[in-house]
Amino acid sequence: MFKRIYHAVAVLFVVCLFVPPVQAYEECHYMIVEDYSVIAGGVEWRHIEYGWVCWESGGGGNPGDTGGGGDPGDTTPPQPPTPPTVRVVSASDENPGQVTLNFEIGGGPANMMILMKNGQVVSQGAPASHGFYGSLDNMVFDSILSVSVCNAGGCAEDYAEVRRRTSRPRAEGAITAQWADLIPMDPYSFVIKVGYENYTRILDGEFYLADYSVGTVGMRNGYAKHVQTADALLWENGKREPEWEAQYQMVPYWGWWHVAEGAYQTPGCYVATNRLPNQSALCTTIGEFGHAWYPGTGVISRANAVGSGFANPNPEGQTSLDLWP
Amino acid sequence: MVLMLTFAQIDFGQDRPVARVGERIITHREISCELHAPNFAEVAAKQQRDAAEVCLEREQQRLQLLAAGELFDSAIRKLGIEPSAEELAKDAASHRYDEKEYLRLSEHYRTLGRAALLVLRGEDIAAVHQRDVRNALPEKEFRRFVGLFPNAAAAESFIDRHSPEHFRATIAADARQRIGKTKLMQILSAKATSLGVSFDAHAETFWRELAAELGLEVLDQRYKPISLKELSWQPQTSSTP
Repeated sequence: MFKRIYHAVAVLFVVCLFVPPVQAYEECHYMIVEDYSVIAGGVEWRHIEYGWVCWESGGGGNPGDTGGGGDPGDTTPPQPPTPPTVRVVSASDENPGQVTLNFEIGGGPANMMILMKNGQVVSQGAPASHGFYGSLDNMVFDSILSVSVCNAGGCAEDYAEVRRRTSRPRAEGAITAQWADLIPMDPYSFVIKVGYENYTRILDGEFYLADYSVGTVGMRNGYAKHVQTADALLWENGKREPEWEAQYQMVPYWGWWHVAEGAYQTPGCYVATNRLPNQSALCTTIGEFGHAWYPGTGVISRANAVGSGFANPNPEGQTSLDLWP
Repeated sequence: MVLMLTFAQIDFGQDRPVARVGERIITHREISCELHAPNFAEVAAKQQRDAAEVCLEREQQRLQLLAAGELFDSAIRKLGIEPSAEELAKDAASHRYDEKEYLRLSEHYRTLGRAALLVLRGEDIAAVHQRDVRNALPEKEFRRFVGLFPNAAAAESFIDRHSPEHFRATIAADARQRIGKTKLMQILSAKATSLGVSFDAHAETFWRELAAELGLEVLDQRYKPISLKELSWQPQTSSTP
């Protein structure tokens, strides 16, 4: 809501460093000349305009004072240089740990650049064609990334928005798992009985996505963060429970190979569905940025229907399910 | 003595009756956690619970499973439900079992039986596992398997029994029960609709009447009664057996 206020305050701070040379007989300041608020669509927009205001100083008097020494023959205030212009032309999250905006700077030569995130100064220094704004992990909500460039003639600013949203894809399938039971026989021997059980499988994922209000350049490595998954087998009453192991595989942005995280039963781990009365869920919290064009995959490495006797642990069916952001 | 040091013999426990479903008596050997849930102590340690409590819980689950199987078979017989050849073929295709699978299962278990026989005749269990069955079972599981045999004769009997025909028969029986259960639920659902009652209410009545007709009782008071509510599910159009 107050993003313009943030900008204005920061610009004022910088401009104070660039007050033009003070004349002995006249004093000029770059200061607020207009300040008003407009409420539109429930958002308050504060308009703050700066301009040069000069007055005869008279050796420390107030604006409007005419007394004091100096050269009475030179009454022309110094001409400030042409203000710079700046435009955010693109964004890059090729390195999700360092979001970058690229700028086009024009107008008069700028001698100061300030980068801000949500009104907080990220860095300031000499103007450059790009600026670093830190990790996407520190932009958990929609964020405004702004750039201001200044010279003695004034400042210019532009910004880009980082838009964060959550994607919760679901993949479904079915698997069949074998069970084997030891059946005791008289007096101390036994036989193995074998059978099968079917389960519905649901794999839920949560991705945290990043989009920008400007075009992007480079690989979109920050596009999708694989946050967490819940992989569940569901079954009707009267069936044997599954005993199974699963993992979640994805290709991290920093490599071209799969990394895998084992899935485990943890508190609060479940798939939200009322389709079947029983479920066994295994979850991961992988928390890794992935290549935008590779899915995450839930892989069942072994599964049996519960039994007491050495069943084949390799299930049939959709043992791999893909999730696309 | 050497064998006693290398693997633990399973105590089959006293073979005492724990429940009755009709004429079928379910004995403690059929549900004992030492035999059917040998990891109960590990589970108890992981969950920081008493091992005896976890053991009893596992035995209760297995008792429920066996009693439910008997009740399903009785219900399927009572209603004259018979899977069609087409349904059985579809089941075989979806679970990928056929003559090759029966042969594979037979070979798998006979290989384990032969390896156990070698151990029971005096060979070192670790060496036998490493040489003969390391790809079939982890060593810990193999030790448990060997421990199931009281002597070499029992292992020989095991090898004889586990023919391809044995697996054809047991898998066919399982398929008939699974398909039968699905058809049973469809019949119960249709009947509930025609009576204008809920599926759950009708299913509960059906099982209660069947249990009374057959005679269903838990004979060992350490175990809870068999739950009839866990026997039914509302069939879905896409449900598979």
